[in-house]
Amino acid sequence: MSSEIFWQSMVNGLTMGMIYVLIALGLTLLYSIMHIVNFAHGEIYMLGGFVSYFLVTRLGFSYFLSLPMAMVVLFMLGIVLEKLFFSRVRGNFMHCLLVTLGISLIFQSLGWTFFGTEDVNVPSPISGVIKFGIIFIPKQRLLSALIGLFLVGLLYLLISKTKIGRHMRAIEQDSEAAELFGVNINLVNMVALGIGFALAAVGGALIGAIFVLNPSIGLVPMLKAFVIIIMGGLGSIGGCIVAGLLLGVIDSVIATLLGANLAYAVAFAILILIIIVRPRGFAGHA
Amino acid sequence: MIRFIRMSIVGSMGVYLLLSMSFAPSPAAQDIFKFVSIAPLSGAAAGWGIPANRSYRYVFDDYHKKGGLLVGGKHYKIELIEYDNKYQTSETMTLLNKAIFGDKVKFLTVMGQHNCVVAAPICETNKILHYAYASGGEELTNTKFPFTFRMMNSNSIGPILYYPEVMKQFGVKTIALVNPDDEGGYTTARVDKRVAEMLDPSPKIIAEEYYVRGTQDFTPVILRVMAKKPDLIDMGISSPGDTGLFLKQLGEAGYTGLHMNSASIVTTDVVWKAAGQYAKGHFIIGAFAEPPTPEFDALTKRYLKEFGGTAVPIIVYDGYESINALLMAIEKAKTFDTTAVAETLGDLSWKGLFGPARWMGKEKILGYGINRSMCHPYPMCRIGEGGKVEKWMLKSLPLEK
Amino acid sequence: MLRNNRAKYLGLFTILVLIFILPLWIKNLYIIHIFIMMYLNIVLAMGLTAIFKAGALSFGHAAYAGIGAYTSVLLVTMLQVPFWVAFLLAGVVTALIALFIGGITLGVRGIYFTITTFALTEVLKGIYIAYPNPFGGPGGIRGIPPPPGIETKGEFYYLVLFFALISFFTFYRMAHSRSSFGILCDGLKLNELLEESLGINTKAVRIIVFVVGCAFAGFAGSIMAHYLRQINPETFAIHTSIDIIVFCAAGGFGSISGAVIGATGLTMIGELLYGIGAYKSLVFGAMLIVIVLFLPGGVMGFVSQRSIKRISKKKGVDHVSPT
Repeated sequence: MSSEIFWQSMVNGLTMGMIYVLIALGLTLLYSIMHIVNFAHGEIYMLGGFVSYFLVTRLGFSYFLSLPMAMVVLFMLGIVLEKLFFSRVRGNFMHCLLVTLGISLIFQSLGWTFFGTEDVNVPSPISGVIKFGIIFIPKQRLLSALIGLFLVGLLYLLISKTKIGRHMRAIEQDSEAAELFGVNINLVNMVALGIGFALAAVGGALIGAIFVLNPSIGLVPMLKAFVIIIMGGLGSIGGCIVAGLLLGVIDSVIATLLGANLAYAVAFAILILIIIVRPRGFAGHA
Repeated sequence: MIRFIRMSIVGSMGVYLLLSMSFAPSPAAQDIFKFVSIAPLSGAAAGWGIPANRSYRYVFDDYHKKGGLLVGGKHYKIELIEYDNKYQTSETMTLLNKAIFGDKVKFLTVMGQHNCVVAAPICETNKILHYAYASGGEELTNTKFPFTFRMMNSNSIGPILYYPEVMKQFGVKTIALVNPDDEGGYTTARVDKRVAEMLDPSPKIIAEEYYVRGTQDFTPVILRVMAKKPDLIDMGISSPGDTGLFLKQLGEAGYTGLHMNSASIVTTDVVWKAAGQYAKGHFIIGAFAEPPTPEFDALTKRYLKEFGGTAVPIIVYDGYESINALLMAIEKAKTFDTTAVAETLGDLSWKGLFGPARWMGKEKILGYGINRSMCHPYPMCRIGEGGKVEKWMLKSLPLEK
Repeated sequence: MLRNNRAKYLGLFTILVLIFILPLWIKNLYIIHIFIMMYLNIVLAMGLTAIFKAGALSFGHAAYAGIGAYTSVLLVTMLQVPFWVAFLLAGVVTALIALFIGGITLGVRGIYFTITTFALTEVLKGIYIAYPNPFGGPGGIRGIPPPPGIETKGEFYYLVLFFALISFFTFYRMAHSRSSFGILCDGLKLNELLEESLGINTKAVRIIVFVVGCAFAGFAGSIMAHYLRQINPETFAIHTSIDIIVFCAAGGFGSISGAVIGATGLTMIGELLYGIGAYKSLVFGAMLIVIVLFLPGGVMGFVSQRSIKRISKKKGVDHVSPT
């Protein structure tokens, strides 16, 4: 493979990786703070895309406005799901998986019914390509990566510098002790969940403008997200970011070299390797 | 003990279900002709299956207006039974069993190359007339399966008719093939390569790429293809959604050559929505810029009136045309015996929605050995501004025998 | 009370007899086909339930059936290995791969195992597609010969029935034996510490049960391949694994018999739902949620609870906990 193609695929991998990071961050927040394994996370991503689509094409909002709006809608959906389902299965890993699997099936089915089967595309005012020397980046992708970076930065500030972030970290370390210290467990959990959902949603909305949307796009990104959170270490935000970008790059380069089917196999091999060698991932807590 | 209670309850439920299924009365009315459609009615491919079933119903309604299907002096009501195979072979197998042994039909249609290929031998053994909505080549329509008919343009027809034209008009010398990595994609690429070799002058196939259906990021494939610098990228059997995304990313990557879909049934507005300006000039087979016959126009208006939208899926026309031919053959053969109907149908030629039409396959360039593949004039058009279909050329294989 | 019991035994016996002579009194080949698929589903459901009882949730059980299927088919079609040898090897190969994967992932936290099973399904599918030689690519492999001497649906029916019975007895014995797994299955809610103190090596038990469960899936896959005469990567993809999970959930994940009931009932329901294909996911998804949240014993657990309440009311006994 020529070096030009290699660098191009690396850049593609980084921009896609940023979006994987958004999805994976949501997943790891849900797992580490709320102990929820969300098998329906891919559907949240998908719904975020569709909400953005409807806001832009049916209600006439601007694309940029639709992003935070989609985040808010899915934040609220998260709260609803928490009250209805998650609260009953929190902590019980098996039940959690089964219930979220059920939710995933239902959302997909509703998706086919209401959104139809044709692919749709979220219209964005940005188009065209930027060239950096021999490398080209479609502007939409670059913008999405930057938005992703911005949100990740916000999340980092939230976790490390705000009171609620401190509470989240406290709950993650020891929720009983945190409660004793006066942390409002329920409120903080809700916020964490909402943020997780919102991040996945904006991922979907960003993808919707780069590629297309249909009700079954959730499965593969969710699988990648799971691999990322294990690679990065369950509960670690920094690890998640590094792992996400790394997986994006590996995915892209292998796919260009050997084809997409084998890119799966490589990601899986990495997963197995990590489980054997260092189960807590790059930066996870033991 | 609890277990026994449970098992007895379920056991009796099961036995009851079984009994009701096995002793279900066959439709009392003897004068009904049953026809089964096994097609994707859910999932991504439902965009093909649902319109196709509608087109079959149109044909049946038209025959009912005439009093029904006339065979042996009696008029028969036609009943369409729709099954959803979710575009999967495992479902297709089960549904075939259901149709052949449960509903006891003798005529059915299956959609999807990979589905039809497993259906063909089963239909052959049981002498079921198998109408295959599949693009593939000689592994489906050949002398081993005289009961199988292909209802649409086989994927050879696009390259046979139009590779020479793009070579002549645009000086194309090298072609890259990009297809989905399923049965249909692999057979399309194989057929394209074979046709290219048999043509004179012969275009060079310099790349053969496959992508996972439903992929969104085509840049790896695009990078590899563009490195070889093809004059034409033929997307073969790619779906409208995949085509649109591919063209968008292709344009962003700076490709300036030609591109076409030589086999698949593509709705232009889907492509335009995904690709915008990058879709302009894309060659598509089978789409008409203006109706070739008044009947075609009438069907267009009829479909749009009932189902709305701005464009009729092209699958509707081929579906209508082929089912119509089947009923014509049954009436001509004056019997429901599938061997006789297959023979009559195979020899049939008629004037339909697209002009003259018949089944081909014995020709050397197709190489199937038996006339079982639908042929009528197939246009090659280009996508114009806003997703409009722009007329380019209308050719057909020699239809006069 | 004895009369009650005898009536139930008689009912069960009748059903068993009917099942044994089924091809004699049901001539509809389509229904026989459904039964064959149902028995295979039962074997898969039992395996998954056993794995669950041992403490792991596998999201990729169908992938192991796929391994068995492809192994068996490739041995027969490419190396001309006789069917029964290929069948045995199919189980062995599947067991070995399960041993490898299980050995690595069953010792660490449950989530790793589950994600690995999920990932394995996708990876295998990718390999089958990417290497048409020898796996047949996306079109899969066609023209698979049936086992020697077993040509008609009726003959297949008996083959699969016997296979299902053998599997049932194996799993049933495992669950009700005096082994560590048997203790786990007795429903005692032991946490890992307690199990260790009782001398149960949890990880070893899990791996053994996982290997056995997957081996039977491999056998089932082999039979399925030679019955359907064709296989392709979609047959063993994630949606099949999800179907099996729903079967087990309907049976309550609680017992081997429960798995049988769940697979039977849902295969029948799946049949009835043919008219509304898109909604099958909806129904299954809703079932999963309802069962996990409200009916932890599965549908059959619910039925048995009601029956127990009724019976115990009749006898004036206080609420009795189910076996």
